[in-house]
Amino acid sequence: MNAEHPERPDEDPWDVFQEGARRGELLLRECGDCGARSWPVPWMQRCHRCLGADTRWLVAGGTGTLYTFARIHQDYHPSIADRTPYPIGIVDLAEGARTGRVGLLVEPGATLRAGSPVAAEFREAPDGSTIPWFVVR
Amino acid sequence: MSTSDAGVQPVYVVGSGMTAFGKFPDLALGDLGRMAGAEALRDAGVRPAQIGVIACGTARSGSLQSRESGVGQLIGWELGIEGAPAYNEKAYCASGALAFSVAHMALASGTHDVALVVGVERMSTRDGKGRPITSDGMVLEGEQGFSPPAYYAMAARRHMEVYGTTRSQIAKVAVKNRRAAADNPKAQYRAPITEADVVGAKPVAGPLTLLDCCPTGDGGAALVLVNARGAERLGLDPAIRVGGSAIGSGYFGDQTRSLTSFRLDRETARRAYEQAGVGPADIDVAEVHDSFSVAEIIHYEDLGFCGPGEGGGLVESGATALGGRIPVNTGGGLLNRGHPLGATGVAQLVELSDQLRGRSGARQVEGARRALAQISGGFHEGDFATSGVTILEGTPS
Repeated sequence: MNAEHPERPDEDPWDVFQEGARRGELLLRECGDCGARSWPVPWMQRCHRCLGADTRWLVAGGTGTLYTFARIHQDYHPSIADRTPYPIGIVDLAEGARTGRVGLLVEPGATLRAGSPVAAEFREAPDGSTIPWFVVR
Repeated sequence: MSTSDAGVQPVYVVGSGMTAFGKFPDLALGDLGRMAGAEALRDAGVRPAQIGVIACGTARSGSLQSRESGVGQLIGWELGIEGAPAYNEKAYCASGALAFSVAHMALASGTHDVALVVGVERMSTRDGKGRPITSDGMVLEGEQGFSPPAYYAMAARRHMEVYGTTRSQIAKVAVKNRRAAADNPKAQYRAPITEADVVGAKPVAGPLTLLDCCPTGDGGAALVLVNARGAERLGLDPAIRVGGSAIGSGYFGDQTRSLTSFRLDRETARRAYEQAGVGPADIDVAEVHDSFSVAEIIHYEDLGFCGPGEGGGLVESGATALGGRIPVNTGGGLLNRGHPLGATGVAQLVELSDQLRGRSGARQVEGARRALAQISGGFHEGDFATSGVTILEGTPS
């Protein structure tokens, strides 16, 4: 806990999430009060649903199903320019949380559609960061 | 929620004006606001010195034009309005609707009697040109391609998957709204397009193409509002009453990210309908936030113009085209009239005011008595950051 501001944890949840990704772990927030599991929200310290302070980290298995997706046709960022057009999507994780928008990697022969099974994989981007991709199998 | 939106004084629209929307590199933010404001004042027969309060909506004047504060004050000065307070509202794409709401509250409460509402944005000539424009708080995501088109492309995909909505139905929104814009001399894009044009246009975020996406541009729109006391003092006989005016902020705690429906729009619409004492079936003409073609289909459903999942069928039936049961976006919508962010919320009400006063020419909805405008701005955790729903009613003359 932060000494000056006891209500505020030392770390931004999003930083913790990214540190987890560097270790190859997909981290979710779990609330000790209401049980809600959530995709971490930058700067949001409390449970997204009940605003309880008793939240903890859960290492997710990384498997789930695709909720929806889109194909991006514009070059937005040098780290992904060679992939254009590339798919992004939202994933329903086996633990019961729905992700924010994530990058997708489609294996040869796999069908990209809502309901397709997916699994998280961690790859280093050209800028050195490690981000979770979801592989559609 | 126990939000009470009703005030003590009835509020009326007595004048409207707007610039053409498009790309006007020679016009400054102040020019666009002054031109729209002057037209609204002339239309109302109200002198600048009679304005008691200014409310101005701009979404990105700071990041795009390096003018964060004072846009309303600047426009007031250029119009010759002195001494009146100017409230500047910033709420993503809904900024103009917020400005309208602030003026409405000021008049309904009786704090002021005569208001000028201005919405304005300048996007074609801007700081950071060439980089994508994203909502505040989504800058990093924008760099990775998680832009507004991507968001709505995912919404389209889900709507197609769950309800069987077709690519053809989604494209029909763009075709319908372009057809309406052909009769609107102030619209940014007016040349007719076909469904094949939409589907075959340059892909932006599949399944959406360039013609499924609203353009960026420059423009200003303005309204003059009075309350009952203001109308009496100025000797005005108002033709349009504000039946309902509701603004809300999103239900972020739900974190559903369903994308096929937005709780904030459903709740904000419910509040506006309650204030006006009407329901969706009573609305004769509507302006909705078609920032992307598929969004209009989702808004039909959230506003209650049809049931969940029936939006694709509604546009296909022709019910929302001119001559249909409930014409939507008779001015061309954001897709074709254009979307200078802060101006849009006010431009929607300019279009509806023209409809209620029977001066919409070739795009007139015959006998229009009740009109609804819906706008949504920004995203956060699966809901809109803010939304506005306004209901205007023609008063019997």
